[in-house]
Amino acid sequence: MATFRFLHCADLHLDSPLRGLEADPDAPVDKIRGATRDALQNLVNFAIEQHVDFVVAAGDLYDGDWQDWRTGRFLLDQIRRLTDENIPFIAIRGNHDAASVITNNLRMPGEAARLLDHRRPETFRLPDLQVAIHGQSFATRAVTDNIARTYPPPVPGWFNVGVLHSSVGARPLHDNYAPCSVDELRSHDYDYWALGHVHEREVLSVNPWIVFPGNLQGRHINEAGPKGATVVTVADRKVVDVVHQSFDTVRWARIPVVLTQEVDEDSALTQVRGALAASLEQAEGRLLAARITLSGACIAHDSFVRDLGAAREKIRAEALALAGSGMIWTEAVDIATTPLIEVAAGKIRTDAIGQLLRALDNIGDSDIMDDVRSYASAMLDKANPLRAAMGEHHAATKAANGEIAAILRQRAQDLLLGSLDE
Amino acid sequence: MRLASFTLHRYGNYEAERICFDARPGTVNILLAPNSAGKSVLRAAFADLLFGIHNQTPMGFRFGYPGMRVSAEIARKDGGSFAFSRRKVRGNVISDDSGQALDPALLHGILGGRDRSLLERLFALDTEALREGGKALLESGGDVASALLSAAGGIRQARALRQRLEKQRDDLAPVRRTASRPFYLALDKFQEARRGGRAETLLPDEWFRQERELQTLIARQHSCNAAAEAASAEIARLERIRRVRPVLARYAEAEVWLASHQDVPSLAPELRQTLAAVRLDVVTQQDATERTRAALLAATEAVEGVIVDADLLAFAELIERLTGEAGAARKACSDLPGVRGQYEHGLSKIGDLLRQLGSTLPPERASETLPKTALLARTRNLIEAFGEIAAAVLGADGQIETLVCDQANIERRLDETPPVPDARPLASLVEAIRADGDPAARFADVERTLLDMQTALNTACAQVPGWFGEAPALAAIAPLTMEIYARHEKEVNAARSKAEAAGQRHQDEIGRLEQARSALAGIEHGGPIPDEAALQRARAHRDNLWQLIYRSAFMGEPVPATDAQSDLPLPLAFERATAEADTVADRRYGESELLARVAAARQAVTEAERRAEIAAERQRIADETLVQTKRIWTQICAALPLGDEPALADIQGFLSARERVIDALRRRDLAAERVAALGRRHAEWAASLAAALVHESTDLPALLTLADRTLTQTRELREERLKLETQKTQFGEQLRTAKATRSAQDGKLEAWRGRWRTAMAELSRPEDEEPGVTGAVLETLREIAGEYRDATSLAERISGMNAEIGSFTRSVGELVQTLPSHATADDPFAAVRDLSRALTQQRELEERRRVLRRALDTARTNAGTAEQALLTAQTKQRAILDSIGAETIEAAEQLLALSAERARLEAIRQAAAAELHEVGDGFPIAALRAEAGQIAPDEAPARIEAAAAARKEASDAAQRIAEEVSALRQRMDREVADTNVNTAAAEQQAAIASLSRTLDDALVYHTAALLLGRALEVIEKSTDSTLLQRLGFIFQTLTNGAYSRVVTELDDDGTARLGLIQRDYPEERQSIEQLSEGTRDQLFLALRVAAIEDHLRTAEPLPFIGDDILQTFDDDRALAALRVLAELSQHTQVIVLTHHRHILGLAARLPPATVFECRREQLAATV
Repeated sequence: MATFRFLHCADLHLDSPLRGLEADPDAPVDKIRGATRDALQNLVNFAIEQHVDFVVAAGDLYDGDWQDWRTGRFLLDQIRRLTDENIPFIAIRGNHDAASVITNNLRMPGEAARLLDHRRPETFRLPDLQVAIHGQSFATRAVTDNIARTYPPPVPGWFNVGVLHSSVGARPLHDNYAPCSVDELRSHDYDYWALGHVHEREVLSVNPWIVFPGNLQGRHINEAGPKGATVVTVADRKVVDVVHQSFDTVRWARIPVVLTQEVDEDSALTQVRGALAASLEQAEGRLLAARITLSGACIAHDSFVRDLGAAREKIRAEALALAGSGMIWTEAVDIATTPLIEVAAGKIRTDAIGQLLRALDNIGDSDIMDDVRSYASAMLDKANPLRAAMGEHHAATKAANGEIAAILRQRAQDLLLGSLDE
Repeated sequence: MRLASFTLHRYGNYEAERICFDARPGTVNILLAPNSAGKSVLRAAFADLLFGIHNQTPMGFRFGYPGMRVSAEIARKDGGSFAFSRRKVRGNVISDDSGQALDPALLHGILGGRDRSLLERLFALDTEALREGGKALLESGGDVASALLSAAGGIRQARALRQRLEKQRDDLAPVRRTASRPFYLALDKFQEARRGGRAETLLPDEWFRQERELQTLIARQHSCNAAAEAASAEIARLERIRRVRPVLARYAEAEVWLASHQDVPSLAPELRQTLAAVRLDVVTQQDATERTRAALLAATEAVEGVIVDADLLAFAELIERLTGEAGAARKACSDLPGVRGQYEHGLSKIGDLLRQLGSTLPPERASETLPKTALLARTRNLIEAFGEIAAAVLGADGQIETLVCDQANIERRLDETPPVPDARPLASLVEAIRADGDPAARFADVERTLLDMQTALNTACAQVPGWFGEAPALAAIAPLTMEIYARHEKEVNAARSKAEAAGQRHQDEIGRLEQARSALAGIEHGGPIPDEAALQRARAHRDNLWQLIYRSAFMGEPVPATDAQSDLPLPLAFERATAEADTVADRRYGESELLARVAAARQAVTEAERRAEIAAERQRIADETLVQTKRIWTQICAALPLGDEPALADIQGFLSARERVIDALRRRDLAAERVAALGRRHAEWAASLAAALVHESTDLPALLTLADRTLTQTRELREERLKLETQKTQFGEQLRTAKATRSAQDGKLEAWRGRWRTAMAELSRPEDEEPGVTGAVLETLREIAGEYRDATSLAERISGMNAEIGSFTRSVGELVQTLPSHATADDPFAAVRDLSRALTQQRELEERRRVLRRALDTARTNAGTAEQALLTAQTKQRAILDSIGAETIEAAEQLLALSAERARLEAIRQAAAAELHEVGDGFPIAALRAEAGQIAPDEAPARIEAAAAARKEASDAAQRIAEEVSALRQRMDREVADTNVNTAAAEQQAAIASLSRTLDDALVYHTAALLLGRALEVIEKSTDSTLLQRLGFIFQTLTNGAYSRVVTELDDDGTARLGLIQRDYPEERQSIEQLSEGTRDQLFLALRVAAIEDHLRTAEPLPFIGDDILQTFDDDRALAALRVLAELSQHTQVIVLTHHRHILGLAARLPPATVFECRREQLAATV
């Protein structure tokens, strides 16, 4: 049997907008808007340039509620580029694209491209390579059956690949669709399980290989780090190499900056610049979408909280000064610093700070709940879908539902303490 | 912690200096230091001592960091002391004198967790902070919580901070829509992006529909294009026939002529034009030759007609020079007599002046009498010096005489003045008595204060609701706390509310029960229900009537006109029968629900009865609870004279009024005690004064007045004697000076006389001549010198004029003799004019002859050129005729015409052949002739028109379809390339991000503002009256009693605010806004002192450092402030830094040892 290589990707989420990035006239809008497309193009370019033998996509080619046919056309264009170079493309539908109107109208260009059946497991064969690719698309958005169990037995003497969209057990932030276990997958005697659904790259097993490649392009701050696909090299029916290949064009990064006691505003900005420079280097020339989180009890806290907007602008200006426009887009700046006052010690003081701290201690959430809820509700009711857009974890949504988030109260108190010596 | 000494080494601007303090309680340490002498450095050094020297401290600006050290000696409570130092070294440890590190816990015990910030905010106060504090008080409107926080070194304007937080919230996301705010900007973008996303989405069905439409259009386009191509081919054939037919005719005509004229030669066509040109050239050159010859003759004659006088022109330069000199010579002739007159007048004046000096020299020799200029200047200086010396001698004599007289007068007055007694003991005593101001006024103040306090007490007693007894008895009452009253009052109110609610609930349930019963009765008392048979009967009757109407109307059967049952016309009867049948049916339908409704109504009655019973029971329990709580309320209020069931507000009013009475009672007692103490001190002072003045009186004011008078008289006597003695000394000194001056002038006069005699000898004047006379002689000599200079100048001018006139006349005469025909020698000026005019005429003639000669040369050249050109043209003409082959011009022109016709027809034949090849689509001429013969000439247009119409129809259709195809393709391409939907999605996410962040921040600001507001409420409520009383007492002291109390009052917003009560207007409450700036500063100082005292109740003391805080106070209040600080120093050490020396003077009025002036010692410098 010959040596061959294939690409395993998943969760393309084509044309899914990047989230959390505020409008910025200096930002490379086209690069951000087309990030998911660019990532797919990078993958196709790689496949063609490196002469990989086939490409497997394990579901979620686009978002489920996305109805724009241009996305389907773009996908078909890219698949056609592969098939024109005799690189087969085999994909399944995941929970997102199962019921999509785009999927319903998608016609693969030629025999070398295949969207596997959603009614039963299907096997796509590559006789030249003696590779059998088994998989089943999702018929609906929520597939709760263990469809892996019905996958066919391996083709004897061939290299067998199972393509499955599943979280393989319960995982936070992921619905447990097509539930199954690693042991079940192992018992199928396939040589490689190409999984999709979990956006974080993860290798569940090396014998056989059971791999989540992660999504192709991070779309928000919770999808930070390198994103791309897995390149699998097979020799004599054995997997001999499995490596990650980055294809993302926008790199998300959380940049924590811990400030120590003596750090003033200027020093803090210098630290921020240093941290940004390190992340920028790791991004390897990609646009860096960064969330900068400042923390620690420090001198700078007072000036930061006095005008949060101005503080963010200064930090954004640092990013701009570091790399110029078009290299860093500051997704958010979390000012989570705390005042130098030690609250516990401050409470026993008999000066103004002690008085205020003790007074704050005597104020329960219920004392301010009505006012906070009233304000939050009034703002969220300004537009019908606003609550959904903010999400249930947003402090305002919680407040409107009668809950004062601990972080909200902490930030408010820190703001007050930072203003004490003005 | 109290400092005994504080030492700085190489710190700030201090190289090595120790400052010593008095650590005893009750002592205010005053450190006198001028501005820029390092007061702020000292403050920083103290903080560094306690909390460490910062790595990059700015205090190395003078000596750098090496050797930087701050040390202190701390006085311990047991009377001992210990010392420690803080060096600028790594680790920032504290060490002892030998440099050994000490246990940091030593300081931890003193600091008790307090940090540098607290030290600087609470224990340090400078002028700026004091002023800022006063301003903050004003801006907060006396808000109690803000004031206390501000004075305690915390938030300067808590209310303002809250407003700022609310503003920051509203700047981001106000509840009321404001389009320009970030939240609403983002919200608008969010909604716009959502709409945009929906509108821009390209659904797959729409795309495929367009693709199908495109394929259909392309097929139709192909069909139309094929039809148009067939029509085009037919049109091309017909058009070719039409095109070649006239060309074929031209071709045939040319062939016939050429066949019949084969002997005509082929000449070059340009020969015709060449021949004509040569002929024209010959004629033209003949005419030119004749004209040039005539011009040459005319020019020769003109030159010979002009004659010029060469002799005159030879003297042209001389004539021009004399013409220029004529003006100057004419002016010299006219000015000469006047100048001679001036000269003779000058000589006459010089002669007169010489005679005044006694000289007999003629005026022309006047220079011999004039002395040298240096001698004249020296003599004038001697005259001026004599005047000054004479005046000085005269002045000195007069001054000596006056001073001798004044000195005698002063000595006489001194003898008459008595000696001065010693009044210093008396003065010291009076100063001590008045150290605190006028004793009588002070006694009157304290008495007035006592009276005010008594009045305030009476007023406060009168304002206690329900109380008619004495103040001590009122103070002796022991009421419960307000919290207890409030809690019980709340319980009573709650019980009352519950009872009322229970009563109302009971009534409501009774009402509902009645309603249920009424509803049941209404259902049970309805009419009888019709049965099924009745319904069938009604329907049968209705149907029967319809049959009758039908048969009558549509089948023509005879039927009765009326209903048998009702005797009504059939249509009306049918309508009624229909209504009756419907009514019966409706009642039957309702019957099925009736029983269910009755059952439900009975159930509702039962339920209502049960609820009414429960409500009655609850009302009974609530009433009992109310009675019980009222009884308890009455019991706890029994001690108060407010009746059985007083309201909480009454109790609160009573207790507040009682507090005011207690406060007033304490103040009254305090004032009475002060009156008594002051009286005792006055008696002691009166006894001392009487002894000193040797007087019997015990009245202190009278004795003070007597002492003042005695001291004034003594002081005036001493001043008078001192004044006379000073004057006597001054006169003696002045007399000595005047005599010395007189002697010096005598010496000067003698020296002058020597120099005078020498000068007179040189001037040949008498040696004893008075300087005044000599001055007049010098003036006359000056006049002679001036007149002599003028006369000399005029004599030179006359000589020059005579020479000029003579030279001109001679030159003119010689020229006239040379050129006698042009002028006469009688008048040289007229002769020069005539010669000049003749010269001009001859020059004009000479110029004219030069011009004519140039014209003659030109004419001669032109004539030669024309003759040569004529010969050349004739040669060319002969050569052309030879090339044509003709002897004459006429024969040549005939041959040229025939040759041109032959060439024209050959060209026509060739062009027709080429055109046939072109328009005949490449077919040979024979084939074209055959094709043209197939169709008659008049038949082709109609056939072309028909084919063109068919082609146009097909082409138009194809074009329309092509346009549709193109438009559809473009639209599809645009739609595919359009990224608006992605943009909308991205913008929607961007808007969500902005909304999220904006709302998050706004919520933080909102929550912080709420927390601060609640915190201020808590602080307001927790502020105890003891602190306010202490604040009032300090403020009273600071204002020297002008303000007697500080109280709190609630404003309309429910915020507690500070109010001030003046001693003189106890009924009025003064707000912060009504205070002067200085008084506000003093109130802030009082707040700060009270805050420090409050702080020190639970913490170890730290020194309070006041940096020039008294510089804005007047002397009285500065003194009062020192008293307050002295009292504060009982609790903690007080150090006042100041550059005002008069503060020390004020401090001297305080009891001994109240103030300690800190000593500064320079130490040996070490590194």
